[in-house]
Amino acid sequence: MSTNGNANLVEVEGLKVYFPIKSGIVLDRHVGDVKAVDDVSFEIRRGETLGLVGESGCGKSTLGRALLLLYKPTAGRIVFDGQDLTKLGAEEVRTLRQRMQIVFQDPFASLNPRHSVGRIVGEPLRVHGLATRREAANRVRDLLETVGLPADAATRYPHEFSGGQRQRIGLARALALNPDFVVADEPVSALDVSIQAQIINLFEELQTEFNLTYLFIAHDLAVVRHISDRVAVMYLGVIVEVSPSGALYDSPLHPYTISLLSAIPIPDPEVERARKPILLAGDLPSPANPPAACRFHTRCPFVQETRCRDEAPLLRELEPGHSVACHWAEQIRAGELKPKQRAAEVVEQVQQAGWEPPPT
Amino acid sequence: MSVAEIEAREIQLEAPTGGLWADAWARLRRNPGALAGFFLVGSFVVIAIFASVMAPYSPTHVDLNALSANGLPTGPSWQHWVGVDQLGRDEFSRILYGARYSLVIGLVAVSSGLSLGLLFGSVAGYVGGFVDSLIMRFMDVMLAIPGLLLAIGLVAALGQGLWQIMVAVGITNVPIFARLLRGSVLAQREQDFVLAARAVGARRRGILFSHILPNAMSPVIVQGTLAMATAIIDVAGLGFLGLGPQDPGTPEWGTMLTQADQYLESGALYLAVSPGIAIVLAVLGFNMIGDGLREALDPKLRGRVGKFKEAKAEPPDGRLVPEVGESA
Repeated sequence: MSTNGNANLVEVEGLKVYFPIKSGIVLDRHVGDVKAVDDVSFEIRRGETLGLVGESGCGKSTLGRALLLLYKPTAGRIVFDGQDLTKLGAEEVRTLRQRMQIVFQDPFASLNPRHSVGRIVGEPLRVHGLATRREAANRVRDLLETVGLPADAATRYPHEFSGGQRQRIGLARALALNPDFVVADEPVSALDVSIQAQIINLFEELQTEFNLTYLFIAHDLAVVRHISDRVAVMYLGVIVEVSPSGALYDSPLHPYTISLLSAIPIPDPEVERARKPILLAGDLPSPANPPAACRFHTRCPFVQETRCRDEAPLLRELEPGHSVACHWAEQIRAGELKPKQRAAEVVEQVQQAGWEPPPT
Repeated sequence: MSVAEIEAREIQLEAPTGGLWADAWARLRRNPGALAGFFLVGSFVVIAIFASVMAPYSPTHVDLNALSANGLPTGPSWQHWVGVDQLGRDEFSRILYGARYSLVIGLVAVSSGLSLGLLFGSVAGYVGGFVDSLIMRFMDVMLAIPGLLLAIGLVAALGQGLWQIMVAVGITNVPIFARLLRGSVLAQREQDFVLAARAVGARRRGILFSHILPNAMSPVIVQGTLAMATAIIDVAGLGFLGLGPQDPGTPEWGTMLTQADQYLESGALYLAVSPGIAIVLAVLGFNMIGDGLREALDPKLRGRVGKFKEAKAEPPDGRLVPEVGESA
């Protein structure tokens, strides 16, 4: 592993990923953008696991995929080990892909059904011309063993395996090139709970064994708490809170995080009866037409008359390592502001005729 | 023993099922309709290849003595199993030789249409954007003209002849395949395993040929078989309309139908019926294979080998399911 002395393996600055909305028959007209990721900055340290949570459609998968340049960033910088990926040519990116990999959410869609497992796991070696046929076969055998699959799995096809086993195959493929950085895009959400634990443990074992850095995307707060060193919370294309994972669960600062955590049932009937979940009103607004200023103001239980609706809050460090994007975070922490139940607020409709959500 | 170990053990117990193509083939072999189709098409191919051995007479051998006293074609007899035509040529031999024309014209037309359609469709689907719009609008224009009409126009423009028919029928097939493949490529292009291939650093061309096309081919294979059936009908149709091969003596099924037209009133029904039956059997065979392939390649039936009968079986306890609208 080449090291340039920097503690951060990945640094993201002002990353934006917009998907254009087009209409027209022959010549496409650009009529708007789905702002899946809108001005996001964070860093991932070497050897750590950064958890990324948020509800469906908030842009967390898009962010993970954009980091690997699977989607073209609209603006911003992605610095991987000192190199700005957005400035590299196609062939340089292709070479760098050896060092960053991804594991997908759906283990049924992420493996080519017409390729044998051996071919799938060996593909990274083949496309980079790194091994002869025999070397590749041995490496595939080792990789399958590493992720806990029998060696004869190589001659079989994906449809012969269960979800958990397919996820192991996906992991073996990601590890084939000895990467430094792995984006795990909700790798356990499609699995049974009993299998989830195994796969998460496997992720942890592999991290120690191969000195991996993870971006672990999930919507399951318990899973993220278990595996992450730090957690970033995403809402509608922006990061609203970053913190060490213990601090986030013990003392959340952003109203969105507070609401999310208050919704977790507590497995103790006495405590559970006293728990007062803060229910969020309405649905996630459309990322094609996000609320102005603070994006959460349409649903925020702590919303105030001033600032929230006319000034976008920046991510600022309130405690060491604990940043939050809320104007009123100090007052909320001090208990000066109380949450109130509110009805859903409709986002002002701006220039969006006939927009449909893009397929995920 | 952990769950993973149990699962691993289960996997070892099962015999490998092979790839998806092998699965599809296994399902196809268990489908009686497809087997009948294979039998029909198989006989059709054998006849086309061995026509010269199997036919009792030369297809162009004129025998005026075989005609009746007033010069009309005669019906089936021991010498001529399906009778003779207006020039005393043996109808049975002509049908056998006719298989050659239908098969060769159909094959060449469909394969050329398929390759061009594949090219246009995969480029349009994979490259997308302006190229896609350009290609597909052109294909739409071609699709707007009815297939046979387009073929007639092309033959009229190119002149009569064998290769002109092949070109005409082939071209009418191009937009059908292009459209089908474009849709298929578009669907596959967004699959996670394509993203995964990009993530490991595969090149665009490699992704197209090893990930997208193999998964996009199923509907094209089905359509290819069905297009053979349509091509045979189109060729016969062109022949019937007098746009067949230039030499009127050519034993082409459509041309034979046209020539039979004048002798129907004098009772030579067999001259029309026999090429008709030949066309029907050949087309039926290709259609049955096509339907069988459609079922065999359907990803929803993946891994279910030989379950066609169970799907149609009665309820297990033999009770009749009351139909909608039946009053108690």
